[in-house]
Amino acid sequence: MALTMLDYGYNNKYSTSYGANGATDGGGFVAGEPQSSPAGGKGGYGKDTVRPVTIKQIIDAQQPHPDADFRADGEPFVQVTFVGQIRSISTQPTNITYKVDDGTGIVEVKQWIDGDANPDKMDVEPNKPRLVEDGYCRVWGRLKAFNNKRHIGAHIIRPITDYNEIFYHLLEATAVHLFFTRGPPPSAQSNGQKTGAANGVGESRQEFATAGDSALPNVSPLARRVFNTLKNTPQSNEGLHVQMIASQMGMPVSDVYKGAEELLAIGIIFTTVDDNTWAVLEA
Amino acid sequence: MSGSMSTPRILPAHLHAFAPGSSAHNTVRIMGIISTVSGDQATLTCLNDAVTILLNRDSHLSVGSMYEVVGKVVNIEGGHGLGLRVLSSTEWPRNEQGQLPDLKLYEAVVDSTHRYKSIFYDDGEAGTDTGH
Repeated sequence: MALTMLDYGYNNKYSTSYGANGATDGGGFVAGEPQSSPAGGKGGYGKDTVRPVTIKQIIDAQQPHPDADFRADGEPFVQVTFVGQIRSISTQPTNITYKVDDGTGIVEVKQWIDGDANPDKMDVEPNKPRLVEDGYCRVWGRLKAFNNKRHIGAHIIRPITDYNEIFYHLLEATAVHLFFTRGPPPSAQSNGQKTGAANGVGESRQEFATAGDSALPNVSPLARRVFNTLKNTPQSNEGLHVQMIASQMGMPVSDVYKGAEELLAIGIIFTTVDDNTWAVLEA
Repeated sequence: MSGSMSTPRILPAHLHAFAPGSSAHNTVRIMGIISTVSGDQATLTCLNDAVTILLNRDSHLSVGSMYEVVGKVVNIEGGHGLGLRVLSSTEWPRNEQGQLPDLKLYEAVVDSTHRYKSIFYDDGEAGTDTGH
């Protein structure tokens, strides 16, 4: 009883907050819609989420038309983070421009000078590492295009003190690139919000290897289970009937239909003798 | 445009793929610990392999320290194989725990940059692309 009430309270709060958002934004995500949201935890990556990238990805990012969001791997983004070596620092009246090189390309990073800030701030902590030419830095900022020239408007730029962070960043950028191009690793799907980047290096590499092997794109855990049953159950070239799959998996027929629909939509299974019998499309 | 400015990260074993003539693009980036310095040559050791570094007048490399070297792959005079002519070198210091950066991690990064090349280097560049 107590549990049920708690549940109810939570759901109530959930729908209220989204409802309020919808009203101010004039649309977007409304309560009752979650079923139709993109599968596989994609919803966790809004375009305002900071995206770890390489400088080549910034240079290569596409902009369908001026004022549109930049896209990398087909995914819009605004905020980025990267690491690189400072090739030059030039102090302008209104900003400091750093040329940053991460081995994949070079980009200009501009940090606007806050007129009200104390210019001697740097001297307060003389032992604090500083941004110097040839030193490495971590940048958080926004990609901007001005007169066809791209630069990063930096929110924060700080020197790197543990150089392993450079390796870490390049691997994280790779993990996120793989997330968008190949879908989340299997364990991330079952856990919802967990991402490959949150795991240890060795572990996430392994996960991506298996995600690549099964060649299963971004689908729900249910569809993934239906796919694995279809793939691993001995069968004739007519494939398996929905009843067979349901009894094999110990799941209601209606759930099998749901999963199969997803798989049919992306074309990795096909109907054989009738609409309720499917086989895996072998690549 | 990015092609001329990118410097692929490699291990000593990949040097031949960026040798003069075999690739239009032979400016690379490599990491390791300086094991010997003599005259205008030094040896950079990365895990169990090493590469000969041809120094320029500005490079002051000290034995036992870790460096990231950006350089051009060249034939060493006298038929001594391939080496790297230094364009720039940066010392990678120890962290607050007193540890040097992890070269095993560097190896993983090199592997991943060549495996998922599209976000790191242009296609025209040589390397050990394993075809993904």
